[in-house]
Amino acid sequence: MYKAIIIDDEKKGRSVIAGLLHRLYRDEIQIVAEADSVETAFIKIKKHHPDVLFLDIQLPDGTGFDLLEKVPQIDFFIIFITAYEQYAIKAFKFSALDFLLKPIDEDELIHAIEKLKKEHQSKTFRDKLDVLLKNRNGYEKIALPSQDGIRFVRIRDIVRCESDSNYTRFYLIQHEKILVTRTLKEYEELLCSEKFFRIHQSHLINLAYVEKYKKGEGGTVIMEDGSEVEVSRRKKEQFLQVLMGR
Amino acid sequence: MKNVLLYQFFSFFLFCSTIAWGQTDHTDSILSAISGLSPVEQTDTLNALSVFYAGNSQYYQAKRLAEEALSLAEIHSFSKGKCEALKNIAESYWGLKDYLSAIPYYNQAAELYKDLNDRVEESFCLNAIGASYRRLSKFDKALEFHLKSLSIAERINNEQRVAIASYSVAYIYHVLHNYPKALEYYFKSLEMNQSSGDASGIADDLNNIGAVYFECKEYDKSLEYYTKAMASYRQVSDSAGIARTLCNIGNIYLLKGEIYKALEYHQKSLRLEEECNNTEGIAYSYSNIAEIYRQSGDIAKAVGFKERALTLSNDLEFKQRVCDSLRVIHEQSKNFQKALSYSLQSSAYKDSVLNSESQQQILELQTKYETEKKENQIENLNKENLIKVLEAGKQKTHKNYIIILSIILVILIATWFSLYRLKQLNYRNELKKKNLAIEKDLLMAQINPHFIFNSLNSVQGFIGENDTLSAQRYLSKFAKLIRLNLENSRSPYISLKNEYHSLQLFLELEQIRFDNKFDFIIAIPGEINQEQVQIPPMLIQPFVENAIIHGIMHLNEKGFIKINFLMDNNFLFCSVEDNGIGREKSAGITIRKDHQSLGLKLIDERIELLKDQNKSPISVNVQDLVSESGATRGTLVKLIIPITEDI
Repeated sequence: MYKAIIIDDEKKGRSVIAGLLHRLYRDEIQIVAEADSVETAFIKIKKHHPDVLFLDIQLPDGTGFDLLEKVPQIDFFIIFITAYEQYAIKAFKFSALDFLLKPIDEDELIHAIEKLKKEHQSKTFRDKLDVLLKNRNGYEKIALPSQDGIRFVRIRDIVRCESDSNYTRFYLIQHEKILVTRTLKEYEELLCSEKFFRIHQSHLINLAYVEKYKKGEGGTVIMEDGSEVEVSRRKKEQFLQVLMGR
Repeated sequence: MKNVLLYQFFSFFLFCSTIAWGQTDHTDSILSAISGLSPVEQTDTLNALSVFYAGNSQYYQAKRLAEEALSLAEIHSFSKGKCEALKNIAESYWGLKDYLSAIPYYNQAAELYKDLNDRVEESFCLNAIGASYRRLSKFDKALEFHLKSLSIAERINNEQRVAIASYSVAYIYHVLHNYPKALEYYFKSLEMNQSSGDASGIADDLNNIGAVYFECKEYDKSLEYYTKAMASYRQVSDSAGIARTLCNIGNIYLLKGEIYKALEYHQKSLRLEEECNNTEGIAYSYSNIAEIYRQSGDIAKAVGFKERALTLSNDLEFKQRVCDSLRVIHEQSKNFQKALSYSLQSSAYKDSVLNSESQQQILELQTKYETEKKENQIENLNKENLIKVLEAGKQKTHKNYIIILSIILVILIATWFSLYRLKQLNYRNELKKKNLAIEKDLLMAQINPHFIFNSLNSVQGFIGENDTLSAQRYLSKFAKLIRLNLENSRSPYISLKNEYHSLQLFLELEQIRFDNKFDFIIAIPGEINQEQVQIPPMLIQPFVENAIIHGIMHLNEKGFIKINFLMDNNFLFCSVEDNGIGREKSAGITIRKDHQSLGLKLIDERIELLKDQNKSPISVNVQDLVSESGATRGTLVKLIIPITEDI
């Protein structure tokens, strides 16, 4: 039996989760408390020592992240919930954490509970959470899910990424390679704010590692690790502008 | 022999005229009387008589005689007589104040005098054309002819004509408020008159120089020149001139606040005008004296003089001005009945002035039309000449040149046109894009995704709680709001009624979503016509949303939102007041980094954009409300929206 606390500033929001849990996991999850702010949640956590939090990001006196920073030692699993907060969604993606979107989809809730059963008390979850909280003052690390687990990589160690069908190959400094089980497009969206640029259908490069640009139809870029990457004709102009403007 | 004969006829008709003064036409009797003379003598006599009648203000008679002279001179190809006749006809028209008809005759005369190499007369006629145009208020044309006259006069070194032409040029610049130029030419005229010793010319120059300095507000210099002018007028015993100058000096003293001196000068001027029996001058003096009494507070005397001025004068524009000042005087002494009657009189005069002005305008249009017609004729002639020249000259080369030139011209025009089109198109596209972008942003701001998803979540909550009724109510309200906002985002202006509905719905939904955490009231006074008042959409909702999220949400007790509308003239005043925690405290716990104030940022941009289109910009003022103890007790947003009324 997991002890759960539901944290949402809207009563309706809490009752939706509570209703679903009651219907689906009556025997496995027990709701020990509900909270509508960071402050009350903090008190209830101290009091009940829950196994899992259903945590809405937007609270009247802060965010779900603020709450987690206040708790000295996180020994519970967290299922994040958000209505729209783009910045939160981006943060979850950087740390490869799962989250639920409002209105709650039943299948997604089931998927999240399965994850809870699997990862509860696991180190992976704690590492992801660590990345999430460390990234709050600017993104420093990114969680890369690969076939043999999750790698936590410093963003500034990434030289470039290359698409490999539905996967993405990350090239790090010191010539290390990681094959990640997500598409290049997802990482383009995350990393374009971190001075990365998609120069080609299959190439996303860290502009900080560009050493040389060779002219050609689209031209090619030589990175500091010696690799030569093609620039597509379509992207050439925009890329050169970004390079010059840097 | 000829001169003796002429003189005889001259004295004979002088005698006839004195007996039969009036409008009788003596042409036939004159013609039969001179029939024995040679054609040249007849022409000369007719011209001399025309001048004589014109000198006695009998312009019709003068014109008839000059016309006879003209036809005689034409039949016998007597050029000198012809141009004199033309000039006399023009002078008669001038006397009859028919300036439009005078111009072509002066013109023909000027051309003929030029052929005869009589440059003095040519300069005279050109100046007269200028003067005619000035009377018709065609100042550019007037200036053109005066300058022509001046250049001829300068070429032949005729001091008198240079002086007159310079004076005319200066006068045009004076009327056009180009004071430096006016001064330049007045001084030139003055110099010429001084060198030729024309005292009355000198006096006029000095007086007008004083007037220009007066306009330039250089009163000391103005006074200096008026004083000099007066001395000159005295020298030639020109009473009217002296009266004018006295009046001018009086006006300077009045401006300087030296009321007694002003009165003294105006009274002197009045006495002179009375001596000359100059009605308009007397009326003008009365009005000036009234002005002085008014300034010194003697209202009764001021009114008396003004009324006398009003009865005397025949100048409509002057009468209107007098009525206006009488109205002001009566208004100030709270005699509103009289003020009203003068106000009515003034507008009646104004109408008549406008009427005569419009007649003047019609005249001007006619002149314009006729000059254009003439110019067209000249152009056609030029074209014909050109064609002749082309035909006569080396036809082929010219043809080739013309073909090449026209091809180049066509290409140039085509390029220019296509470039212009392209530019226009680009500009239009740019504008379209900008509008689209703003429309999209507007839509986004209205349908804040956060609000949508939370609303949907609330519906899910109702369903989960099996509260079908609430779920239905909530959903229908939600749908209504979205529909309304979609509609609103499409038009640049929406009715206040629409805005009221969308605010009402929004607040009701938020009220349910936050579990009745707040109450609200939207107050619109009954006298505001909600259908007619038009405002830009989505101006108020972001402030309301802010009040809930940043103010009310953090509150422990029940919140309250009050939206008030007020209307004054063409402005709609809207205030959004909440009893939340205030801006400062709220900033400390700002949580929504992405959406936070997106709506407000958009409002700034939109206000900036609306500024270009509207005369007065929308103004926004946000202030924290502070209780007596100094604690914040909410936020107040005040919007002032210039409204457009939908008719």
